[in-house]
Amino acid sequence: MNIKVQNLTKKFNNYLAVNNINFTLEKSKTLGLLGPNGCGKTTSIGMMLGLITPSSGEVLIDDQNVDSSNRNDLLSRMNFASPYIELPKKLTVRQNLEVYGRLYGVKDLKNRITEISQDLNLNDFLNKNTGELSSGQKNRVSLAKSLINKPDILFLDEPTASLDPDIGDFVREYIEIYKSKNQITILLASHNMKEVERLCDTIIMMKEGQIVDRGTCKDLISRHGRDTLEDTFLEIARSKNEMA
Amino acid sequence: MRWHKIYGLSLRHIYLIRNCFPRILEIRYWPSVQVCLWGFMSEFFTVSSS
Repeated sequence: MNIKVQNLTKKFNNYLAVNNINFTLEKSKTLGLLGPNGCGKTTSIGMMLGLITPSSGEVLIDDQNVDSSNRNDLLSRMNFASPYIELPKKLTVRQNLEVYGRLYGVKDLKNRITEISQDLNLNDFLNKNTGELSSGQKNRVSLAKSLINKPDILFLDEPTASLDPDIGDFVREYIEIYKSKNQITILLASHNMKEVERLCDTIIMMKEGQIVDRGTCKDLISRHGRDTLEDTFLEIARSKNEMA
Repeated sequence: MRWHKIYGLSLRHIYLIRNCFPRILEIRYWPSVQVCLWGFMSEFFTVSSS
């Protein structure tokens, strides 16, 4: 599945959260969405998921508008993970995966839960309440939930935020392996430059709701004459707006 | 109508109720209070006033 974002704008009262952004994400590629806090990354993802109605512009998934009549079919082939959205705390990990599996209409759900629990090492706390888990465990559960329906498009909003380097690396490695095995399209919003460098084919830099630069990691670093992506990010974040 | 979504949401509520004793108590307690307070009292006044 590919994603085409055309002239996408979102205005909240007088605040322009996303300002006329355009990009295309090809099938099986990973796109990194980089930018300072409040630059419109999560709002853009919300619009791509059909959770937020754009003020103008459109999101096309396989050339079909995400707000069209077959929205349910499109959404059933997508999924989303964010550490900022908590799963019901009173439900055990297994129950949560079962509920989301049912919501997505996953066939052979029992086996899918067993498979994903083994892959993400969830077996030790599968029967524990989600609210009693550590951040790292919750994060892995959130990732498991996002992969329960074997999505063609995966939206990841800071998937390794607040994780220690060990679990962070585990999650990154898992995403990397899963991507190579399943050829899924990933849109990753992150503040972790090493993560973006490792996982993304192309990067979009956003600032104040606009796309200010785009390209591969190497392109961006060389274009700005910096040594690392982090330095490039800092330069872009601290400079005046220039449209890409 | 997507039955799997209705089933998923229902399952969520069933698990929530099952996992939490205060919820079960609340479901039993308040209807019991209503029945005792309004039902039986109304019945008593109806019978005694006639």
